[in-house]
Amino acid sequence: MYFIVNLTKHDVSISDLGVSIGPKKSMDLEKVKPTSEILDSKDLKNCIKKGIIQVRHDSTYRTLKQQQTVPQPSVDSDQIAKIREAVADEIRKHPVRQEETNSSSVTEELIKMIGKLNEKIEMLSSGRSSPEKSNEIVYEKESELNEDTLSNIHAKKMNKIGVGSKSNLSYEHKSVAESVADRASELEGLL
Amino acid sequence: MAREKQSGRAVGVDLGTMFFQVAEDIGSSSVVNTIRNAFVELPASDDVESVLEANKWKYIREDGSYFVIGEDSLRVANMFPGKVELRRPMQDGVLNKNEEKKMLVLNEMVRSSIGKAEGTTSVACTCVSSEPCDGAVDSAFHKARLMGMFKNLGWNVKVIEEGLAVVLAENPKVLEPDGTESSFSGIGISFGAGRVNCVLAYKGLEVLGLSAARSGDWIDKKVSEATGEPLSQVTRKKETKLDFDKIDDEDEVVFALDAYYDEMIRYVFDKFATKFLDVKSKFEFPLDIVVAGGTSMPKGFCNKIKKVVGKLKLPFEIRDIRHSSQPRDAVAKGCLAYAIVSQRKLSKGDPNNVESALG
Repeated sequence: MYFIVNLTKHDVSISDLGVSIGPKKSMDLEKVKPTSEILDSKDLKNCIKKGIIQVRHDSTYRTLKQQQTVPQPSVDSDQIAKIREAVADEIRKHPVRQEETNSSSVTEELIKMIGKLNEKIEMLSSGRSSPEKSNEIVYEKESELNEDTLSNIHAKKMNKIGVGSKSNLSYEHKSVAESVADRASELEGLL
Repeated sequence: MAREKQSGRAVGVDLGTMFFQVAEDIGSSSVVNTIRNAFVELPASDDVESVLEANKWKYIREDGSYFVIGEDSLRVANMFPGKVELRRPMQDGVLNKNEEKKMLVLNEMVRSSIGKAEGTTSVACTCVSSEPCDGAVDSAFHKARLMGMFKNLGWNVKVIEEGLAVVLAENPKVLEPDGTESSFSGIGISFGAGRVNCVLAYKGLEVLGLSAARSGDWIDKKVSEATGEPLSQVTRKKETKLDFDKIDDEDEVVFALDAYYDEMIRYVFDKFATKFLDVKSKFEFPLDIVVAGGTSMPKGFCNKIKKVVGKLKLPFEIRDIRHSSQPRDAVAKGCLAYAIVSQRKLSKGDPNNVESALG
């Protein structure tokens, strides 16, 4: 919420936001404009500085941070060792005949495949997988509402609590003493 | 006594960890009504309702449950040990964040005790703890929720610190260097169940305040842990057997209670002394200390404080330490005094201009 009030007796126009407010009227700018535009508006800042517009409630988030998170690899060194072992087993299962080992093309192909496999394993172990943008936004600061507004919000909440309930509550103990009125009168003189 | 329709009411409300109290001036007296701030939950059924009605137990019914409130909750908990749990809406002086039914119970206590406000100038004054010296509490939420409860019923709300309420109820005075006396000036300490609240006030205004979670509940818990005695036994001994002028060293529970009371007093005064240094130069005259709250009830408590404080090096001089005339009711009465002042100001001013009238 970015609630502003026009303190003057005439219309006020905030040109760079394309917004106009009538005399003594108020509005929540966040309902008509994005927060970033509101915070960047020079015309709005000028109006506030001149005392034409007053900000009554500001609950905009001051900065937005987008985090890039790189997902941690889900394989550990034990698993990598197992992968290597599995590849080696596969190679042993399918031995290359003597004449084939002399063929340079087969050798080259094999070397390339092993090289690529090693690369992949290395990438997994160092976490160098393709970075993914996460949608996580971290807000640095929440601004505070004034006490009056906050308590009004809570009052609305209280109105809904206990609806439909019934009770027979009454007091348990009662004590009677001298009236506090005289004390209040003495206090009134000081405050 | 019938009240004029147009005139507003003034009430003082103390939502304590152990007791919920409401104070109001009726005629020439102040009446303080109290209900224990605890409840148990029972499943709704015709049998349960007939038992509750037959015994005239106090309850709230909501959806599929009955919530038995106050002393009756202790009776039910004792009748079904281990089967029903005694629950509290407040803990350590603030709303119990682990209790989902706290607002139902508190809201109903407020509604049934003070009802809707009359007119536009009725004022309810309640209190909150001062800034804690031993860990954060969610005081902003707590305060806003309290205010919301009263506002929902149409009351104008004032919130003061609990220690200040003690000062307003007991009216300690200081002797100024020029020989004049200043009222509502001194240190007010409320030793509640959940927290100790300590405020230095001058002419009715708070100068500084602090609160600590080392109070009645803390003492009971520590003594129970140290001695192995159940919490209920410790509490019972504290309320019936503890006399600081005659400590029975043979009774390990009483001995432990004495030790932990010592620790509580020393801790609070140490912390307060540190804070006092910020204002020391303005308060070079001796100060009265007034003490209230349920945890201050054991006999000889003020003498106990004098003994402990006598060994401390404090940055202020103490003129006298005295107990409130009604230690259990002082906070509610202090809130009432403030509510009356606020309500009178509101009545004199524009009823639509609440904020300027209340200041």
